[in-house]
Amino acid sequence: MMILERNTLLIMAVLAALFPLLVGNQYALHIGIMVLFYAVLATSLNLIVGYVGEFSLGHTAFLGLGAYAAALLSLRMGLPIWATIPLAGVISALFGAAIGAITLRLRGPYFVIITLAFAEVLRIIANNWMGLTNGPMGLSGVVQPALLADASPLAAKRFYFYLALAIAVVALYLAYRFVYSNNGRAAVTVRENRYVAQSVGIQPFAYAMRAFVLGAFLAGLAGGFYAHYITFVGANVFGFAFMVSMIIMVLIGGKGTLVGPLVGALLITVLNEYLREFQELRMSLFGLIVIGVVLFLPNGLMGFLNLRRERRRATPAAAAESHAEAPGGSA
Amino acid sequence: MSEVQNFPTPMLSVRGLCKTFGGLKAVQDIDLDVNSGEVFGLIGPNGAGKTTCFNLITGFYTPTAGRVTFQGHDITGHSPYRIARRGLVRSFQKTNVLKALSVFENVLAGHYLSTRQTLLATFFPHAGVSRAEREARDSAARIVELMGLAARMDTPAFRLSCGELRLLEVAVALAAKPALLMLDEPAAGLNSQEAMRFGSILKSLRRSEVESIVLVEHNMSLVMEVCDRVMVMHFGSKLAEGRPEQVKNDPQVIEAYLGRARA
Amino acid sequence: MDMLLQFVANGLVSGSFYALSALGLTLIFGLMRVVNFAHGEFYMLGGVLGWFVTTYLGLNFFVGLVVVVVAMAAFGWLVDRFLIERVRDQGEEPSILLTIGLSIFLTNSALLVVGTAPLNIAGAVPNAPVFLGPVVLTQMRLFAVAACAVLILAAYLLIRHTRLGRAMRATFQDPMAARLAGIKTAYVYASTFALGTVLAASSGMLLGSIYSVQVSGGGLISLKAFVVVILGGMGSFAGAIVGGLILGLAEALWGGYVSSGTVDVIGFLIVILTLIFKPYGLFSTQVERA
Repeated sequence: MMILERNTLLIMAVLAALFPLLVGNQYALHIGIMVLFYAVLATSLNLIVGYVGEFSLGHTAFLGLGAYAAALLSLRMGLPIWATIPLAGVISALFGAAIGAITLRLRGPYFVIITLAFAEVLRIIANNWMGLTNGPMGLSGVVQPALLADASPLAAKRFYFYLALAIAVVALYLAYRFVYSNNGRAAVTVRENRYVAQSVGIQPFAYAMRAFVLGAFLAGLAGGFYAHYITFVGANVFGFAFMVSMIIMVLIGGKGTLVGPLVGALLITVLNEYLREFQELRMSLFGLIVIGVVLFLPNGLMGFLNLRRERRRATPAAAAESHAEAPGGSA
Repeated sequence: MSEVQNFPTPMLSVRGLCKTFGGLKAVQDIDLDVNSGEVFGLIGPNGAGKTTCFNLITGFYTPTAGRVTFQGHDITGHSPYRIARRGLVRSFQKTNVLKALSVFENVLAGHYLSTRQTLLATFFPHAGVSRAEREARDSAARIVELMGLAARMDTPAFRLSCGELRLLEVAVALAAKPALLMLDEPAAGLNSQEAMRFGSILKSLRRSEVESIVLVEHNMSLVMEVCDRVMVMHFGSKLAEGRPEQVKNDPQVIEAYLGRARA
Repeated sequence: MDMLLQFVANGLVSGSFYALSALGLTLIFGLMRVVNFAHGEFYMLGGVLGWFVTTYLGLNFFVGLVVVVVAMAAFGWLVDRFLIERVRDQGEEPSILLTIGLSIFLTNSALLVVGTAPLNIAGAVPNAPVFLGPVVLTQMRLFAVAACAVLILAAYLLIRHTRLGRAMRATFQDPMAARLAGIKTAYVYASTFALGTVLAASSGMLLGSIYSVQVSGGGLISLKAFVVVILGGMGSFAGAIVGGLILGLAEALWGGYVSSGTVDVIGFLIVILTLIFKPYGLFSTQVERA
């Protein structure tokens, strides 16, 4: 599993790196950039949904914090892009530590609602604190890197594509290291069975917290990138639309795998673009997708593929265990 | 007990342990000592408070009164994970494994304590990290074989039979490298043949894997077979303690089990 | 002082509305252990349907309400039989995700059909002012408060004193035993879900006649209902009423004395504080056991 995921990720990275060389179309590049942006976001949400095993509806808090942090650092303090994006991640992670300290004490529906409450509080603050965030007008004109001053629009898109790719590579490297280390195993142990986890020496809260803060950091990076790429940040970065996209990407790809959310990001971003003109139709379709995934594909596309792989491997030897048809999902 | 102890200080020592749940006295004034090198059995009819005792010693419940000392350290009321880190690891009465993971992954997850690392080492692993990982993998494979589950190494836990699950539970606990292993009804649901096989595995674990074992068990022949000493609980209190054959013939114990003369 | 009285009166009025709109949520959670994230959308559908039957079919308010109740009961029943039923006994997460999906689908499908403009439902009584000493309210609001009280009481009596209510409580306590006692638990679950849906929808229509129906407002309604239910304790009937009144008062006072633009923030702060200090609600004595 580990080797398979690593190789898939490497192949994906190489393909992504070749993409701008093969494509000279600004629109296609823009879609590529959005896929990478969402890949980072979905990966970060997956750390919480897939590895802590709790469902956060407030992950946009960290996207938004990162976006506002980068925009303010750039506009008010004149920091360059190579400083604002990492700092956006750090600031997000600090908030993640504070919010996690409160929210991770709760589970199930209580966790869902308290995370949502935090995101909503931040959205309302962003909408009302004129002095800092410029309220509903938002922060516009986030500074572009100097080297883009004379660049053609196509070159600028290529620059942002590789920047997004770099962030995605960092995000997946960190996530991969985390997941396939003692940390990730401890988090999965807690997710699967808190009692077993404690009885082998794991402090449940510590590992939920590590995953949560890492998730916040990555979402903050994505937010920082978003601020510079779009050049505008408004309170909508805390909104439900981003949240819905992230959830669907993680669920449809398969939570608890690293490749799954990337596949989800690719599918949903392209679908998003394809249905761009039909906002409500698109969202209502997303709702149906969520329902469909929960009912028919509880472990996402990756879970489905793994199950098939396992079945195929098991078929020659295992007439004996064909009675065990229980689903493998976590309760 | 006025018996002369062979060992200067017991490994686990419990004094005056009590637990009440809303007025109900689940465990009353329990004293017990487990010596190094010993297999200690905790028996008694259903509802006698054996599992509560377990939960109190391993930190899953906080005692209402009493002290628990393990290897000279007071661990009364500590969190379960801190107690596990001292080398006291338990299994659970109801099957508790990581259902979605394979047998090997379960046991590997049990190696948590031997593969702990800083966050920095997680993201930028040095040679020590990969060595610890390799050692944990080797050790996990060895424990799986030791428990006789080698053929099921990559089988997801939810596909295992009841007997295999019990073995896996013990394997996960062993993976944490305990000094004292506490097993709560590890042979529940096994037939007598499986239970005997389980008993011989347990006996082989002492000395080779762990120093001592505490066992809560209903299967009397298993208890008689593997335990050096047993304690009988009844209605939350200690009824008798001693060598298995001694206890077996104690009239009070027979009464408790057969349920005569409840007054 | 007069201002304070007016704020308190306003707070109690909207508090009783909150109580009613949270009742269905707490009922479904308490009896079925399903956290219904589509609750606000059921409320919204009740409003939209109420607007449709009064405006297009020309029914009067009360006849319209009966139509809405029947239609939404059927809808809730079907949702339970075809969706919730399939993830029953699989823990909390699938039902949470399922209802989140349902809420996204319902909101956007409704937007697709009726658009974003607020919809007005002709009220049951005129909107004339009523003077109670220094406090001014409208007839319509007083009527709505009375209707809230009637609906809450009716739901309470249904659960406490009818055969169906007894079957519901039995099923909640021990589904297996209820089944053995000959209760068709699948129907009990569906009826409970339908009842929760009806409570949400009828409050949606009632309050739609006072404010107006916002198709995209379901999310906010759900959130407020969650605030109320968390405050009062999930599954607690009395808790929902007290929680509703507390939220209504807190919002009215915050809006009156602190800042009217950030009224919504108060609910979330209450939720966060409640969950930190009393995670299972103000009135619960529930303790977690290992």
